[in-house]
Amino acid sequence: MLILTRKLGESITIGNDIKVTILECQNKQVKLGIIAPKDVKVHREEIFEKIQEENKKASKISKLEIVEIAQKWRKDGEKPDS
Amino acid sequence: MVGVEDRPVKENNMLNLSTEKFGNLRIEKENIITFEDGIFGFEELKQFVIVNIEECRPFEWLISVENPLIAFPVINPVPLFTDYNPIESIDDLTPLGITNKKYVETFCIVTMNDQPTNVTINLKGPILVNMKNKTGKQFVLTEDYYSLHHPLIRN
Repeated sequence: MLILTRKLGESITIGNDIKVTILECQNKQVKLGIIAPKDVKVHREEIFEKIQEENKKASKISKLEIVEIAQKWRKDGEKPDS
Repeated sequence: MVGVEDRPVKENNMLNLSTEKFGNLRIEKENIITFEDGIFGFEELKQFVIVNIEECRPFEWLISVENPLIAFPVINPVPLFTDYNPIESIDDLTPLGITNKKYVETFCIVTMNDQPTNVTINLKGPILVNMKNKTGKQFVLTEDYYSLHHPLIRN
Protein backbone atom coordinates (compact mmCIF):
# COMPACT_ATOMS: atom_id res chain seq x y z
CA MET A 1 0.00 0.00 0.00
CA LEU A 2 1.31 3.42 -0.92
CA ILE A 3 1.10 5.77 2.04
CA LEU A 4 1.16 9.54 1.54
CA THR A 5 0.85 12.38 4.03
CA ARG A 6 -1.19 15.39 2.92
CA LYS A 7 -2.16 18.67 4.52
CA LEU A 8 -5.58 20.30 4.45
CA GLY A 9 -6.33 21.59 0.96
CA GLU A 10 -3.70 19.41 -0.68
CA SER A 11 -4.50 16.74 -3.22
CA ILE A 12 -3.29 13.53 -4.75
CA THR A 13 -3.86 12.49 -8.31
CA ILE A 14 -4.50 8.96 -9.53
CA GLY A 15 -3.76 8.36 -13.18
CA ASN A 16 -4.44 11.27 -15.47
CA ASP A 17 -7.95 12.17 -14.52
CA ILE A 18 -8.66 11.38 -10.87
CA LYS A 19 -7.98 13.91 -8.16
CA VAL A 20 -8.65 13.52 -4.45
CA THR A 21 -8.47 16.62 -2.23
CA ILE A 22 -8.47 16.83 1.57
CA LEU A 23 -11.26 19.34 2.27
CA GLU A 24 -11.76 19.08 5.98
CA CYS A 25 -10.19 17.30 8.93
CA GLN A 26 -12.06 17.19 12.22
CA ASN A 27 -12.50 14.79 15.13
CA LYS A 28 -11.10 11.73 13.38
CA GLN A 29 -13.20 12.49 10.30
CA VAL A 30 -11.74 13.44 6.97
CA LYS A 31 -13.80 15.05 4.26
CA LEU A 32 -12.57 14.25 0.77
CA GLY A 33 -13.37 15.92 -2.52
CA ILE A 34 -13.10 13.63 -5.51
CA ILE A 35 -12.89 14.62 -9.15
CA ALA A 36 -13.14 11.64 -11.47
CA PRO A 37 -14.54 10.82 -14.90
CA LYS A 38 -18.24 9.92 -14.98
CA ASP A 39 -17.56 6.26 -15.70
CA VAL A 40 -15.47 5.88 -12.54
CA LYS A 41 -17.87 4.90 -9.79
CA VAL A 42 -16.98 6.24 -6.36
CA HIS A 43 -18.58 4.49 -3.40
CA ARG A 44 -17.96 4.26 0.31
CA GLU A 45 -16.31 0.87 0.73
CA GLU A 46 -18.89 -0.47 3.17
CA ILE A 47 -21.88 0.07 0.90
CA PHE A 48 -21.33 -3.15 -1.06
CA GLU A 49 -21.06 -5.11 2.14
CA LYS A 50 -24.26 -3.55 3.45
CA ILE A 51 -26.18 -4.36 0.27
CA GLN A 52 -24.92 -7.94 0.41
CA GLU A 53 -26.19 -8.21 3.99
CA GLU A 54 -29.56 -6.71 3.06
CA ASN A 55 -29.94 -9.13 0.16
CA LYS A 56 -29.13 -12.09 2.40
CA LYS A 57 -31.72 -10.95 4.92
CA ALA A 58 -34.29 -10.41 2.16
CA SER A 59 -33.76 -13.92 0.81
CA LYS A 60 -34.98 -15.26 4.15
CA ILE A 61 -38.31 -13.42 4.08
CA SER A 62 -41.14 -15.92 3.81
CA LYS A 63 -44.09 -15.86 1.46
CA LEU A 64 -46.40 -15.59 4.48
CA GLU A 65 -44.69 -12.42 5.68
CA ILE A 66 -45.16 -10.79 2.30
CA VAL A 67 -48.77 -12.00 2.04
CA GLU A 68 -49.50 -10.42 5.43
CA ILE A 69 -47.97 -7.10 4.45
CA ALA A 70 -49.80 -7.14 1.12
CA GLN A 71 -53.11 -7.85 2.87
CA LYS A 72 -52.57 -5.16 5.46
CA TRP A 73 -51.63 -2.71 2.75
CA ARG A 74 -54.78 -3.41 0.77
CA LYS A 75 -57.05 -3.50 3.82
CA ASP A 76 -55.83 -0.31 5.45
CA GLY A 77 -55.33 1.45 2.17
CA GLU A 78 -51.96 2.41 3.59
CA LYS A 79 -49.81 4.50 1.37
CA PRO A 80 -46.05 4.36 1.35
CA ASP A 81 -44.04 7.33 2.49
CA SER A 82 -42.84 9.51 -0.28
CA MET B 1 -51.86 -40.14 -18.89
CA VAL B 2 -50.87 -37.82 -21.67
CA GLY B 3 -48.84 -39.35 -24.48
CA VAL B 4 -45.71 -37.63 -25.68
CA GLU B 5 -47.34 -36.64 -28.97
CA ASP B 6 -50.28 -35.08 -27.15
CA ARG B 7 -48.15 -32.72 -25.13
CA PRO B 8 -48.42 -29.10 -26.08
CA VAL B 9 -45.53 -27.96 -28.23
CA LYS B 10 -44.75 -25.31 -25.62
CA GLU B 11 -43.80 -27.99 -23.09
CA ASN B 12 -40.16 -27.77 -24.21
CA ASN B 13 -40.18 -24.12 -23.37
CA MET B 14 -41.22 -24.73 -19.80
CA LEU B 15 -39.09 -25.35 -16.76
CA ASN B 16 -40.00 -26.74 -13.36
CA LEU B 17 -38.69 -24.95 -10.32
CA SER B 18 -38.92 -26.68 -6.96
CA THR B 19 -39.00 -23.72 -4.66
CA GLU B 20 -39.09 -23.73 -0.90
CA LYS B 21 -41.44 -20.80 -0.55
CA PHE B 22 -43.92 -21.53 -3.33
CA GLY B 23 -43.74 -25.27 -3.98
CA ASN B 24 -43.40 -26.29 -7.62
CA LEU B 25 -43.51 -23.49 -10.14
CA ARG B 26 -43.66 -23.87 -13.89
CA ILE B 27 -41.96 -21.03 -15.66
CA GLU B 28 -41.39 -20.21 -19.29
CA LYS B 29 -37.74 -20.43 -20.25
CA GLU B 30 -38.03 -17.28 -22.29
CA ASN B 31 -38.78 -15.36 -19.08
CA ILE B 32 -35.41 -16.21 -17.55
CA ILE B 33 -33.36 -13.10 -16.88
CA THR B 34 -29.58 -13.27 -16.96
CA PHE B 35 -27.64 -11.38 -14.29
CA GLU B 36 -24.02 -11.62 -15.38
CA ASP B 37 -22.77 -10.28 -12.06
CA GLY B 38 -25.39 -12.10 -9.99
CA ILE B 39 -26.98 -10.24 -7.10
CA PHE B 40 -24.79 -8.76 -4.35
CA GLY B 41 -24.10 -11.54 -1.86
CA PHE B 42 -25.22 -14.15 -4.41
CA GLU B 43 -22.69 -13.50 -7.14
CA GLU B 44 -22.67 -17.15 -8.25
CA LEU B 45 -26.35 -17.06 -9.25
CA LYS B 46 -26.81 -15.73 -12.77
CA GLN B 47 -30.34 -16.68 -13.78
CA PHE B 48 -33.56 -15.46 -12.23
CA VAL B 49 -37.24 -15.16 -12.98
CA ILE B 50 -39.72 -12.62 -11.72
CA VAL B 51 -42.81 -14.35 -10.44
CA ASN B 52 -46.08 -12.64 -9.71
CA ILE B 53 -48.14 -14.40 -7.07
CA GLU B 54 -51.65 -13.04 -6.74
CA GLU B 55 -51.84 -12.96 -2.94
CA CYS B 56 -48.47 -11.18 -2.68
CA ARG B 57 -49.33 -8.28 -4.97
CA PRO B 58 -48.07 -5.56 -5.34
CA PHE B 59 -44.94 -7.47 -4.33
CA GLU B 60 -43.30 -9.86 -6.74
CA TRP B 61 -40.55 -12.43 -6.27
CA LEU B 62 -37.15 -12.62 -7.90
CA ILE B 63 -36.40 -16.34 -7.83
CA SER B 64 -33.10 -17.99 -8.67
CA VAL B 65 -33.41 -20.58 -11.42
CA GLU B 66 -30.14 -22.22 -10.42
CA ASN B 67 -31.02 -22.39 -6.75
CA PRO B 68 -34.80 -22.02 -6.37
CA LEU B 69 -34.43 -21.94 -2.59
CA ILE B 70 -33.26 -18.36 -3.04
CA ALA B 71 -36.06 -15.85 -3.64
CA PHE B 72 -36.18 -12.13 -2.96
CA PRO B 73 -39.38 -10.17 -2.45
CA VAL B 74 -39.27 -7.15 -4.76
CA ILE B 75 -41.50 -4.25 -5.66
CA ASN B 76 -41.59 -1.79 -8.52
CA PRO B 77 -40.79 1.48 -6.73
CA VAL B 78 -41.57 3.78 -9.64
CA PRO B 79 -45.34 4.19 -9.03
CA LEU B 80 -44.70 4.60 -5.27
CA PHE B 81 -41.96 7.20 -5.27
CA THR B 82 -42.53 9.68 -8.00
CA ASP B 83 -39.13 11.35 -7.73
CA TYR B 84 -37.20 8.07 -7.70
CA ASN B 85 -35.85 7.31 -11.13
CA PRO B 86 -32.69 5.19 -11.09
CA ILE B 87 -32.69 4.76 -14.86
CA GLU B 88 -31.84 8.44 -15.10
CA SER B 89 -29.31 8.38 -12.22
CA ILE B 90 -27.18 5.63 -13.72
CA ASP B 91 -24.77 6.94 -16.31
CA ASP B 92 -23.82 3.64 -17.81
CA LEU B 93 -26.63 1.29 -18.72
CA THR B 94 -24.50 -0.73 -21.17
CA PRO B 95 -24.46 -3.82 -18.90
CA LEU B 96 -28.15 -4.09 -19.79
CA GLY B 97 -27.46 -3.81 -23.51
CA ILE B 98 -29.76 -0.84 -23.58
CA THR B 99 -31.25 0.14 -26.86
CA ASN B 100 -34.35 1.77 -25.49
CA LYS B 101 -34.97 2.82 -21.90
CA LYS B 102 -38.66 2.04 -22.21
CA TYR B 103 -37.88 -1.67 -21.91
CA VAL B 104 -36.16 -1.20 -18.56
CA GLU B 105 -38.10 -2.12 -15.44
CA THR B 106 -36.97 -1.25 -11.94
CA PHE B 107 -37.31 -3.43 -8.87
CA CYS B 108 -36.24 -2.80 -5.31
CA ILE B 109 -35.64 -5.55 -2.80
CA VAL B 110 -37.85 -5.55 0.27
CA THR B 111 -36.08 -5.64 3.60
CA MET B 112 -37.66 -6.25 6.93
CA ASN B 113 -36.43 -5.26 10.33
CA ASP B 114 -37.26 -6.80 13.69
CA GLN B 115 -40.84 -5.66 13.55
CA PRO B 116 -42.84 -6.79 10.56
CA THR B 117 -44.53 -3.40 10.47
CA ASN B 118 -41.18 -1.83 9.63
CA VAL B 119 -41.14 -2.78 6.00
CA THR B 120 -38.45 -1.02 4.06
CA ILE B 121 -37.07 -1.23 0.56
CA ASN B 122 -33.57 -0.78 -0.72
CA LEU B 123 -33.56 2.33 -2.91
CA LYS B 124 -29.75 2.46 -2.87
CA GLY B 125 -29.30 -0.82 -4.76
CA PRO B 126 -32.07 -1.08 -7.36
CA ILE B 127 -32.35 -3.99 -9.75
CA LEU B 128 -32.83 -2.95 -13.34
CA VAL B 129 -34.05 -5.41 -15.94
CA ASN B 130 -34.08 -4.92 -19.66
CA MET B 131 -37.23 -6.85 -20.53
CA LYS B 132 -36.38 -6.85 -24.22
CA ASN B 133 -33.18 -8.89 -23.99
CA LYS B 134 -33.85 -10.32 -20.50
CA THR B 135 -30.73 -8.90 -18.91
CA GLY B 136 -30.60 -7.63 -15.36
CA LYS B 137 -28.19 -6.05 -12.93
CA GLN B 138 -28.23 -4.74 -9.39
CA PHE B 139 -26.77 -1.25 -9.41
CA VAL B 140 -25.51 0.92 -6.57
CA LEU B 141 -26.62 4.52 -6.80
CA THR B 142 -23.99 7.07 -5.86
CA GLU B 143 -26.46 9.60 -4.49
CA ASP B 144 -26.19 9.82 -0.71
CA TYR B 145 -29.86 10.48 -0.12
CA TYR B 146 -31.00 7.05 -1.30
CA SER B 147 -31.43 4.70 1.64
CA LEU B 148 -30.99 0.96 2.02
CA HIS B 149 -33.97 1.06 4.36
CA HIS B 150 -36.52 3.39 2.89
CA PRO B 151 -39.84 2.98 4.76
CA LEU B 152 -42.48 1.47 2.55
CA ILE B 153 -45.40 1.70 4.91
CA ARG B 154 -46.08 4.53 7.26
CA ASN B 155 -46.85 3.40 10.80
